[in-house]
Amino acid sequence: MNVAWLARRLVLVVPTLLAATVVVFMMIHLAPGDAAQALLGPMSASGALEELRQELGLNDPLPTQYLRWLERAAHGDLGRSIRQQLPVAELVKEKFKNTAILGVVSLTIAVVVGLLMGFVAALNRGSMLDRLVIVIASSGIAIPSFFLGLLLSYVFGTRLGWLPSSGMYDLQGGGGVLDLSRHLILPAIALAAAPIAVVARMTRSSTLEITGADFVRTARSKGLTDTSVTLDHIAKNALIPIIHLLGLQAGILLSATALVEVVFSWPGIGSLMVDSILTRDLPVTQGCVLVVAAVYALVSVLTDMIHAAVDPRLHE
Amino acid sequence: MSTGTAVASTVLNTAETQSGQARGTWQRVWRRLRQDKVGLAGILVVLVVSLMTLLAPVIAPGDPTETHLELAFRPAGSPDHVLGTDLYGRDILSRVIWGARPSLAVGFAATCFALAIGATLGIVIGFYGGWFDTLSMRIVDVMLAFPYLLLAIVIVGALGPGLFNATLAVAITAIPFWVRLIRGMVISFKNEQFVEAGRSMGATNSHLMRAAILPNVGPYIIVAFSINIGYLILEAASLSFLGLGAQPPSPEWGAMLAENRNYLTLAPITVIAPGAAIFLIVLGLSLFGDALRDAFDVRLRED
Repeated sequence: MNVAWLARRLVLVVPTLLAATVVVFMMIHLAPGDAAQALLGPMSASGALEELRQELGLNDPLPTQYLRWLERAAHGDLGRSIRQQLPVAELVKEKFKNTAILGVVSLTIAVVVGLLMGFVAALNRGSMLDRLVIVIASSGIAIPSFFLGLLLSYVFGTRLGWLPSSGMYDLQGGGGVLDLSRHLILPAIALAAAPIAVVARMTRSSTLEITGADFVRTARSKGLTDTSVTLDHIAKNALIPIIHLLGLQAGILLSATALVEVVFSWPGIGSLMVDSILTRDLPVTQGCVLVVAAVYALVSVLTDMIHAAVDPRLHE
Repeated sequence: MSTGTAVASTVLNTAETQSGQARGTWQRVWRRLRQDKVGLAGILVVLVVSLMTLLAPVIAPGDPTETHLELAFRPAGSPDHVLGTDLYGRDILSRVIWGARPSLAVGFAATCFALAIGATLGIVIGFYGGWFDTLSMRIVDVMLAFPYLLLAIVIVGALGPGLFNATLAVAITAIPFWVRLIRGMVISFKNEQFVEAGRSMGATNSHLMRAAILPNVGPYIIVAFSINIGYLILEAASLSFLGLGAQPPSPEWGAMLAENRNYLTLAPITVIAPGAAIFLIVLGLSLFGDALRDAFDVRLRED
């Protein structure tokens, strides 16, 4: 792998992350009224407001305030929640773990199912199977994840009673991996539907493109078996564009998770973020946004690196 | 208009007719669209829902917000309430029909807004290039570093929940998409011969942008618009579902889902009807957009 290229890519993350912190910092100043009012609510007494302004240093110029905030954030201090008297960092860390479990499982399902569907469709182009995949892929992109989640919880939770449709663990006698897995199935499917559709579409079209490429014809004319051509020549090359796509999907998943978490009462960072907005708990909102943006930036770099490792053309 | 510009304009018009074959393009597009059955189904759905939006006062059986507590949770198929009623005895069919208005309006307004800003910026940036281009694209990159929905949530989080703020938020998230798309196309058209010819005739930059570049990016804009609007409708419905967009008692579909989800077990139709409505319009627009893309034979980079 080209070291200079890699270094350049890594350095590019810094301005992105810094810009994200500016956006998050400015959130509190965009809110109607000043930050003290945003923090305490519109009904607060003027004495308390002035006290908080002093305490937060709101009378300092904005750049000074930003740098101070950034320094604290860099040390892991994201302020305190207004509604729950807890450090934001602690709250966010706990919830992020739960979101990560849901996200990783969803993405894995999306990759495996999406690749398989797209690949099978492309190799049987024009068949009923191909058409079925196209229909599923088109629907998967159009169905709102929260609606699919509600449907799944109604059918498999309420009507059939096969799976739990709320929370991460049973309230009584719960805990353990098995219990967690049962609770994971429905939200993970609801969250995976859209990326499955995108991955399947992309895999199908990139496989079709490669099946017609010259080097595949050469491989066949050399007398290689169908299996060898399919696996070594077609599948390997069709995978490359998917890697880039996955980085994007991971980002979409990180925010769409809010919708699914709300439906299934999954105690993750998405539902924490939405709650904090509805209760105007701004420090918590800021913490959630910052963490999600940072994780997304890191995932993007990671997928770029994998992409570069697999496809040497990228950095030439 | 100076003589130079007038001559340039004639050259440009000739160039357009030769390169674009304007009328022929539309005929070809229509011929291809007619043969695309899936695309036609998409168009049909879009048409039906659009009509529903326009004719809501005529076709809706009742008032979408009128409450009749004694009629709560009538099942679907009741004589007076084909799709049943909700907790407040409001007719679900009427709510879904009236709900098309806010649900589609948000997506439409947001796409128009994003297109207006994105196209203006994209054309200017792509045309002039230089440090302005570099700076703008850095800003776009930063905006793209936030996932769409997260960015929308951040904006609503700062401005406060509500239908207007949600529309604004959704529109802002779509601007980078448009800037990048249109800037890329402008750069590729900028060096075409007919633009160079116009320039050598003394056409001004603003004239070249309007007369030469804009007509050529047209088909791309139409296709991208039809695809983008579906996504933005979905995004706006998502915000409303989270309680950040349209607020009850608005019959906006996302808000309806949020309001009725606690009664899913008791009256599933109250959730299924608005959910299916979102699904159908987004699916219809997506199929329609795909068909248009094939008919115009254009490829979008972000596709």
